[in-house]
Amino acid sequence: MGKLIDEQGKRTDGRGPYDLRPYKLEVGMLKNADGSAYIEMGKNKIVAAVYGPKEVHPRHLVLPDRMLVKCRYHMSPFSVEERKTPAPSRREIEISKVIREALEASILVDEFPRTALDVFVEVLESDGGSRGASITAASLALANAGIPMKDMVAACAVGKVDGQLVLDLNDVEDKEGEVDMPVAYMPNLDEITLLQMDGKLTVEEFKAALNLALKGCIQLYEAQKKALYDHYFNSPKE
Amino acid sequence: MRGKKYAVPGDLIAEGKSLAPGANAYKLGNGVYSMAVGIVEIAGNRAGVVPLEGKYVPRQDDIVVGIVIDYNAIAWTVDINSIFYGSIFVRDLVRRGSREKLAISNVLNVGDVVAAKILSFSVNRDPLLSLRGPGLGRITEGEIIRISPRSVPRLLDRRERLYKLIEDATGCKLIIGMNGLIVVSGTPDGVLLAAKALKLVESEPRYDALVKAVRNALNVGEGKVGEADR
Repeated sequence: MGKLIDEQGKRTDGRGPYDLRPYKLEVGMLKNADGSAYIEMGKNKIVAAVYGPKEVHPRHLVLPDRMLVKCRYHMSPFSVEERKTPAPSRREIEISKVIREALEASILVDEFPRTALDVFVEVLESDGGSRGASITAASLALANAGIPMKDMVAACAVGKVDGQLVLDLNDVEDKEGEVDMPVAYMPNLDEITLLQMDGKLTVEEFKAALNLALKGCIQLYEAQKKALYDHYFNSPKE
Repeated sequence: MRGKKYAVPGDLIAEGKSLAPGANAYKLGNGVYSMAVGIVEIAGNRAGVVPLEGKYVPRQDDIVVGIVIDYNAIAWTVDINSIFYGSIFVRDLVRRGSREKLAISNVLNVGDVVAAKILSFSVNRDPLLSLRGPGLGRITEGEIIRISPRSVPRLLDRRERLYKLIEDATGCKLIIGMNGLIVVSGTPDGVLLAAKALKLVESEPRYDALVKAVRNALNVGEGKVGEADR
């Protein structure tokens, strides 16, 4: 192959190997939800909405000691090149689960026992690395809903393309590359809340990849904070 | 803007060995960190955050406005725009002995709006409400206006007493629920004006700017009491 990274070390979309795609974050653009956020990351366009805390329905799902967190990741039929059926696929169910677990680690679930929290993630346009972008947006929506949380969760992917480690895979790199490894991270607590990997890396490569991913997460984390400051206090931090 | 500090989740709000975390904050090592978007409040050795978002969490002795959504032989269930439904015991309103003669739905029915006080609440038990007390009970007239529960303290703030300002300028009566439901009764024009002022209260977290905006919207100058004395 050898066409995903050219002679100058540029990627298919002109980025260097350690660059994130251009991103844009927005908070609170949905009026009817308790909290909402929007992210554009490369060609990804994702909306996240949060409802709750609220009474649990159906009643038998109530957890006596903690909040019940429910998450639904969904790709719109028009989010990909060929129409996708709107029914949740195996992949979407899995991603819903990992997003929920990545976010749950940051939420103080025992603050509101016997309540439910609904997180909806809708992918309007997808371009690889959508689970990372979804977590980044959903975490922002949680903050917008006033859910008590220890830290914001930021997420992005690293991968290996043409034998080289790269940050934030796009669609082509995701499909043609050798490795895809999404990571979600809470920088303040220095905790990783999601780590998945497709493909093979040596131990050294893995360590380097993880470091690279964390650097990307920290960049997104700062962007999340900036988005919140812009929305609430409309002045830059400090 | 100066002097006030803002925080978003994960922000370090204060540092020191002897500091204790206040509301919406937690301690990690020597630092106290925020758990919510809000305004930092440091009192004594406690550092906390006053949140700008979030649902109403019941507190004992708060007055709330709710809508009855269900009832049975023991209690009415009331939607108080919170994380839990409240309940009013039938025995709070109906005297023992008179129970057979009176249908419970004649006292309070589904859809009725009530002003109630929170008798008791903990996260492990749904809030218990009472209608006994001055100004409490079934509300028969007015319009319900919903604002964010986090903005109600601004309305009740003692400094400018904005609720009084709105009442005086519009000639309306306000029943303010800490849960963000406000019943406004008066002339149609007055209600519209009051609704506009209440929306301002919701959208402007900076108190000084808010007072100015509300005075502007109501056409009330500094210190001048509106048309209430007509």
